[in-house]
Amino acid sequence: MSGAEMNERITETSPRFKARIAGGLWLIVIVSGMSAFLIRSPLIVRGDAAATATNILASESLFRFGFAADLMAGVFYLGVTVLLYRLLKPVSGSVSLLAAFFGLAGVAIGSAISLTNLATLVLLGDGQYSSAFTTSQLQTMALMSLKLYVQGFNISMAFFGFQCFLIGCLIVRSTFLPRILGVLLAIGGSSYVISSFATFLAPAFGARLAPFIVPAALLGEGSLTLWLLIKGVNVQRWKEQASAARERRS
Amino acid sequence: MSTAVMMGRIAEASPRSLARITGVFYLLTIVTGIFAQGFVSGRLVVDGDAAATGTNILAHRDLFQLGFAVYLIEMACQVAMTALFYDLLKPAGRKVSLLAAFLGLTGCAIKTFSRVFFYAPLFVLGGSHYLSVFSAEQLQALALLFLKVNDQGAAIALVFFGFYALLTGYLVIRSTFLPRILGVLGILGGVGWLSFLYPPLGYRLFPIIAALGLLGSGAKILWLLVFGVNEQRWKEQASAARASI
Repeated sequence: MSGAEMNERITETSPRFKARIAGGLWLIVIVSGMSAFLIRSPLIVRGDAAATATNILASESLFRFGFAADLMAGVFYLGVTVLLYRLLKPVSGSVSLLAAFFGLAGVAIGSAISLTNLATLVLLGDGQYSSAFTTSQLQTMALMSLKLYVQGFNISMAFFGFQCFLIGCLIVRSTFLPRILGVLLAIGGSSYVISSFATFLAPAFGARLAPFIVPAALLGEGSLTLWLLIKGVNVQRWKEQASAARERRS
Repeated sequence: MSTAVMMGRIAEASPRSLARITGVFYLLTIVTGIFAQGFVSGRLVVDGDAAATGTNILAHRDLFQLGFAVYLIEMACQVAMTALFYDLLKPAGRKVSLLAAFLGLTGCAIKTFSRVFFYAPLFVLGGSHYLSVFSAEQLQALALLFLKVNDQGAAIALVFFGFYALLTGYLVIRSTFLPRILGVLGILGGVGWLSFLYPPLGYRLFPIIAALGLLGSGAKILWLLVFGVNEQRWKEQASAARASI
């Protein structure tokens, strides 16, 4: 399908097609986000700037690939955000917009902070200016940049958490998607928020919480993604709820 | 109010309850902002004194972390307020309201992003072994530098909020369902925030600007919470707007 044709289909097509596209994009987001995480994590050695620097320089292209995968996840997530806003508007225009705003802000913050990953490479590269610092100082600054990235990532996760929670609530109130998907997504979203704030307020506790967050989030996002991709939405009920919403407004 | 009840009220979206909920988020934005800025940042950060700032932060680590978390809650409330205000002001001008909302949202993203650098001092003052390649003075100077970057980022966001206030003020004046004086006060506040286009000016005038901004926001919040909007006029303007599309 050509790009123009695809655009055409998205603008006027049925909610089911929109739902499938949203599911497809979300799947790409999950896969690229996870691979960025899996690529980056083993390279970083907590509290050891020299080992981290050696790892990153030894696998520089892998590190850059992780950066690109992260950025792509953000771009595709914008698509998910817009499509879900349109799909869930019949349930409540205001709440759906609110969820979309959290998504947009989350992507903006997450993408802006990936800059620090490039800063890491610049610090570890062999630019002339770097001779003003010792190698170990540069390595320490590189590790600091990576820490800033993790912090910014956690902030954006909190915003995505708010978004997922709101979308979950909307699904529970919708007539065209199974309620259980909404419940699971709301749980996943809350766990993002809880985990992020735990990391900010009590980093050690936050780190202990982390292993429970990924399964909760994956369950919520994964089940909705698959449902959207395979079943889409119940088109007739969607249209009923949409026209009921229009009447309520006038 | 439980979240489920609140969701229900927003979903039914009677203009008056929409206005009240917007007022609640607006109030939370201001209160949390004042707490984090005044009681945490203002008390712990000593301008131009890296050593004192570093000592303060380490001595009140929990308070500093709480300040960061409250900053984030502030931004989450402001994102919510921005989205709901868009809906509320849509009948007075859909395109201008959308433009205003995107300016506000951009400001929120910039400000939230710059908060990363508010937390960053904890990374360099933490005393981890790998930091020992820098002297204590250097690390304290870095910490203060991060705090300044955070401040500058927030100042950039203020300019976006200034334009946001101009546009929403204009919409309030054009609306039939909110008193015009609220719009005028909002515009005055917005002009004040625009002085951060040249940050030194903004910082110099800050007490006046902040007072103006608070007056505009405070009046709007009070009105939204107590009176909401004139529901009948809101519906009239909304259906007139729909008819003119």
